[in-house]
Amino acid sequence: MNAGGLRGGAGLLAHYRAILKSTFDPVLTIDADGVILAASDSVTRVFGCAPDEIVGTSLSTLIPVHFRARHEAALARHRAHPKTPLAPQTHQLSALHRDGTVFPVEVSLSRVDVPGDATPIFTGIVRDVSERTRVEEERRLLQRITIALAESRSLAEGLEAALREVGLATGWDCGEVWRVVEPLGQMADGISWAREPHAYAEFRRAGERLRSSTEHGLPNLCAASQEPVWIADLRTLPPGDFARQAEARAAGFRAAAGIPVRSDGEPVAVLLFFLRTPSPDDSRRLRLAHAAVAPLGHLIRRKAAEDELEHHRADLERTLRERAAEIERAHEQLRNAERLAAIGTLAAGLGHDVTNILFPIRCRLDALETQQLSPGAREDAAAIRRSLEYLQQLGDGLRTLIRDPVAPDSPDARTDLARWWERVSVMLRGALRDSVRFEVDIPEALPDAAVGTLALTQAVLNLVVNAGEACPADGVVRLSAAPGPGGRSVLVAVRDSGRGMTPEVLRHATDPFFTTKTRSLGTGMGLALVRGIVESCGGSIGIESREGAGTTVTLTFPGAPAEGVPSAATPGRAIAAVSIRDPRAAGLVSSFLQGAGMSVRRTAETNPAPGVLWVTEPSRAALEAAAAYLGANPRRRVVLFGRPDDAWKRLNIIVIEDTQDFQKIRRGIGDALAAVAGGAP
Amino acid sequence: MTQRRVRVLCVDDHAFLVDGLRTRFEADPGIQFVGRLASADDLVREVARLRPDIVLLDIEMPGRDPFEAADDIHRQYPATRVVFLSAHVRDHYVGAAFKAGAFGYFSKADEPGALLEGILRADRGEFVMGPSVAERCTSPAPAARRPAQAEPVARLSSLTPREQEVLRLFGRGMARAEVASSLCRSVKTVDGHRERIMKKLGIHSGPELVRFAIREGLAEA
Repeated sequence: MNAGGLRGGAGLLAHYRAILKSTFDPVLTIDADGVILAASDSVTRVFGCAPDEIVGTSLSTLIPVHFRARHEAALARHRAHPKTPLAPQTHQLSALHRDGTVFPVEVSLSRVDVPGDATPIFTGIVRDVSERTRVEEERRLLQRITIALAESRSLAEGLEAALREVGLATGWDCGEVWRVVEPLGQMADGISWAREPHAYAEFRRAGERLRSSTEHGLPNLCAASQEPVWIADLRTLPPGDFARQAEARAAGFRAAAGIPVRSDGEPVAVLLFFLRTPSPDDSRRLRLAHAAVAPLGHLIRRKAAEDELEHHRADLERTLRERAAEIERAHEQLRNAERLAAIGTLAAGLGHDVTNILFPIRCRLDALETQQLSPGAREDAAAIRRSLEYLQQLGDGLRTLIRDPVAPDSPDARTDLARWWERVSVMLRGALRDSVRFEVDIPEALPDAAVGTLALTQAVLNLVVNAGEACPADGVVRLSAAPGPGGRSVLVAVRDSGRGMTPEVLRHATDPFFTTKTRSLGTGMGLALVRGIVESCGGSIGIESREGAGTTVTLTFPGAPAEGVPSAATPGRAIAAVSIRDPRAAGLVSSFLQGAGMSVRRTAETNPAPGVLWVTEPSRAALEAAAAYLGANPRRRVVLFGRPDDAWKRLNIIVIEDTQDFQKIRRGIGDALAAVAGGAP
Repeated sequence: MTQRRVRVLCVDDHAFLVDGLRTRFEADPGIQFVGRLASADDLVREVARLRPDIVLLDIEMPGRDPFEAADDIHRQYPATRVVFLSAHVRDHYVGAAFKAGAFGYFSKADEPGALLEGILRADRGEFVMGPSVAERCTSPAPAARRPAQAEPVARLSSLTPREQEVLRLFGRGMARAEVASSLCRSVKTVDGHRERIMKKLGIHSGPELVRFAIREGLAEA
């Protein structure tokens, strides 16, 4: 301690010396010229120099250069106006440590007017408030970062704001954020910041593409140690420890620091900072940055959770929007379907009326033709008949539009394609534009297809309409039919010379409600309906299409079960005998047999005649005749038309008990024909 | 010796159709047109009065159910034979016609010549079907190959003609009151029919009944 410059009594002096020796905060006394008269021992702790070294020197040595002028001016004012009172207040000033660092101090000044002296002396108690300032600075910074994070719309935006705040407040040149990402243990950089907005662009871009494993790299070093890492000189770091060492050096950085951000003890992110010019103040930067960043973990976690929540909300909204659009589409399709159903009903009604109107016209034409007509009139009548036939076919076609084609119109559905074509040709041709050529190849000798006529018409109509719409103005639509392999199926194909389908369209072509048509009548039900029809009768649909090369849709229908007796086994038509007294019932049974291609003979019940099938009523004579008939040829079958007694039950026969029920008669005859065709007893 | 002419009574609510038939019959030496009716309401009485050989009967007309009328004629005047002539060709109609004792079923899409020939055959007591009816209804497949869907069609034949008519009107979207008015019956009677139809078909709701009628082609025009 040195108080050599003080004047006064010895007791007072001793007392003063004791204070100077023991005071925690430095006490400095200066004269009006700023020369240090006395200094407490504690200056060594705060300023780094002993009292002896500074007593007798100017106080300016303890003041940062840029504050010295203010200090000199204040002293000058007091010298000029020595009586000016000194306000009893604490001054927030900056002080200069011996090592050159500047630190904040709080100074309480008092003026001592020494009796007899014209100029006063000043005593100041200097408190080093570095720690307090640092804590306040940290608090302010943390507050700014917290607000920035809280106000950000996403975690990425919040992290960028935090990075910027820390970087600016603690004086870094550049920084980046690495986050722990999936797969677990990997970190990726996606956010960077630079003090100069466009500086280090290349370095920053390179960082944003990186992913780093936990094995190496500065981010992972920080994440693993959960401690700040300071690399004072990037040149001294062994290569390989820090993947971006070379890039950082190339960008001009000398030092780097990593600061981990944790939440519940887990690393959630690492902030990296880079510096071009290291300074003695760097440790303070690091401390401050760490202190500000460390508590952000839970905020970042919360923000990440909010992000996820927002993501889910957006997802949910999108899903809701999509659902709403789907519902709207479904409603639209329903409206279209209803409109189509109405059109179908209208068409069927029209078809019905056409039939009603044409019948009497044909009656009159028939009547006309029974008369003696001139050759010209006869020609006219023939022309009228052709027109009527055309109209009748059109009417028949229209009537097929109403029924649900997927529900089989008859349990024994079968269609002879050549006959079918005769009926629907007019309507199908009418479904195409005039400019489109319609080629048809349906051979006569095809096996019957196991599909109802109406269902087949609807399926093919849909395909033909689609094909026509896909065609250019001068396009070609070709309808063909052919037997499938082994004659067990029938193939019906519709080919167009249109634009073809993309693989995507082809994939969805038979999905319900899938349509590429913009017209209001494109319900997207066409091919779905066709598929429904074909599959409901055990068939299949195949589509071949290439963009620009047209489309071929092939429907494969199973062949209908053989009708009646196989003609190969019995050259000519097989004969059936019918011995039913009631001509009405006999007529019906005969119709069924003739419908199956058999030649029918009406015979007495005792004389079934040669043939393979005999339908008879029960009687004793018939029983005997039946036994003989069956005994003569094992391929023969007998149908009993009526209730059998026990004697009949000994014979292997087919029975139609309810002779008034159309369906039961039909079924019984069907079973008999199948037995004859199969040859099984 | 004068050839016997088959005497035909035509029942159809479309006058132009009956006119056309009459013209055709008059051109045929074997058939005589003896009268016309626009509904089946007075049919039995007219049959009693005219004693025709054949009644050519439409199935869709206002008033009395034609199948019921056919049944009455079959029982009361067995010498008169009913032949149905309709624009509708459905298995169950043909079945109902046979059940009602009819001797034939023709479609208005058939050639008039085929009808005339059929009338002559029916007159001889045979049951005849027009070519387009035969094509649809005479493909007898064995029961073993018949799919399960056949069941409702089979059940349909269990309906009385009147019940079929009621079902058809429901299938066309008519309300109970409309059906009642169309058949000149009370709503209560229609309700009774409806209940029995649903029981017979194993159907439990109105919409299901309408769908069934549409699917089976009962709802057409």
